[in-house]
Amino acid sequence: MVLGRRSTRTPSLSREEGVREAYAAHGAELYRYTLRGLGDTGAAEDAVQEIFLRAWRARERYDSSTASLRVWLFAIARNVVSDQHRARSARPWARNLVDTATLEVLGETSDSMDELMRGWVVEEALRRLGEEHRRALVETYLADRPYAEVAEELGIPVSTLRSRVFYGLKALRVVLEEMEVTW
Amino acid sequence: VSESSSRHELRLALGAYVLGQLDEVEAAEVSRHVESCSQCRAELAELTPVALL
Repeated sequence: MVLGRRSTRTPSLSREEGVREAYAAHGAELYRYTLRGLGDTGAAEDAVQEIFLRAWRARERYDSSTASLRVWLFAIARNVVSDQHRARSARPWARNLVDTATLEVLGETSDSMDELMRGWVVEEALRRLGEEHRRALVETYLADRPYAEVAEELGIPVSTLRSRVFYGLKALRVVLEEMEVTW
Repeated sequence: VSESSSRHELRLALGAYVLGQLDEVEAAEVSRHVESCSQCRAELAELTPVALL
């Protein structure tokens, strides 16, 4: 799978204070998401740090015309949570994470490219879905919000939202096959 | 709820099921249904890799 490298710089993540701003805006909901996914406050806090570290490392690949910063951060969050699950089953979680002050001295690294590419593939695939399917999946799957809450916001019954998630996933599979993603 | 509409609802719940978004009771209900429904097993096999990506 190959996606075009994006050259658009995002001013919001190009400085340490930009990362702090993104953290202030989205840190709390990302923490709730990782806590729900991991069930442990310590691991959830570490995961949030990891999300912002990866976002900062990949800041040059973020394209605000493709996805909102929030959606992009949640795509990374999904990868971080699933990596932690994998790491737990394979070995004890022993990774040292850094605080935002340390981010300044870190250069671009490629060790998380696979995870970033997965995040981008999901982003790109979601972008190709119809609006109803995309919205249903983004709100319930990436943002991990309760169905009742999302359904009410969209003004539809929960059963309709479930239907959109189901058919949205089926459509996503077709899109991923078109993008020649292998699994 | 008739049996067929219930079966339809169980099938539509597979999306939420594969994403881990159902509560324990509903997830167990879907699990039991999938064991006895080959159509839903096929759906599940199709959706699982998408959810894991």
